[in-house]
Amino acid sequence: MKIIKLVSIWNPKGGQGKSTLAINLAAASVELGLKPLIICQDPQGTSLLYYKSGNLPFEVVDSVPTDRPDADIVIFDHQASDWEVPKNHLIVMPLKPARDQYATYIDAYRRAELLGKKIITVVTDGQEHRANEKDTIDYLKSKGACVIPSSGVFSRAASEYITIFDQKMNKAYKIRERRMEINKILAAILIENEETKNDN
Amino acid sequence: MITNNWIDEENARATELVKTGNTTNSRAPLLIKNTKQPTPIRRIRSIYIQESHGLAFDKLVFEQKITKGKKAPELMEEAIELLIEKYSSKE
Repeated sequence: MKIIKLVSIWNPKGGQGKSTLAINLAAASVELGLKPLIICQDPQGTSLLYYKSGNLPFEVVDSVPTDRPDADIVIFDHQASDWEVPKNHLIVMPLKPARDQYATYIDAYRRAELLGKKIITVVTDGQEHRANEKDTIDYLKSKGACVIPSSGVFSRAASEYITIFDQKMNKAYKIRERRMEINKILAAILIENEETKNDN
Repeated sequence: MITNNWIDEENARATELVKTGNTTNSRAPLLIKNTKQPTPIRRIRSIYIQESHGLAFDKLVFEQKITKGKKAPELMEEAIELLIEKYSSKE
């Protein structure tokens, strides 16, 4: 039976980039020749909206399938305000580098840590020219976090409900860097070789 | 050099908070997940089928109930829906 990599994108704080990260990680895995599936667990249905636009080269479903899906990587896109630590082992936690965002993140992180989860932190939308944010980003980097700086490519992709891996984005400013950052997070997910069992 | 003194404060606060099992505002309403699958709408309709097909359906339901529990004849329901859709006239 094929091993399915399970990953939850989780942070109870809203607006940290959970859905954006979910769809772009899935797109990056398509580039690698993998078959991803996103399970949207958010009533806002952001990742579903992208899927319904018809521009995604992978599937997004609105609930956990009853049968084992035909996929290499299953990404759970959790909703904001969800304080229940995901049941699968690997969790990706995006956060913006401001104190009030960090406060919620670290509360949730401690909960997941207590349950022995493997957590990949991703600092999103950071602006390193701001000293305070740079300090926070540097601190999180020193703790092993991945970083995706603030960039226009994400809002540009969002305006067309596409991922940054879409061909339309090939000539966007600094697209290569942004894609590499997403690829780096995907690599961190794929090399994590812990349990793939999930009770969600 | 890290100049954000607040990081240590937040880390310490979160470390203490997790010991209590509460959120920062434990009196705020918490999200309750509804994980129940919606119940399918069931209707009664009469169709004529051959006896051998009826027995095959019975066997299918029986086997499915053995493997997935007595409330799980979804495959049977799906098969009947497909047959009705294909062969019966619209109501």
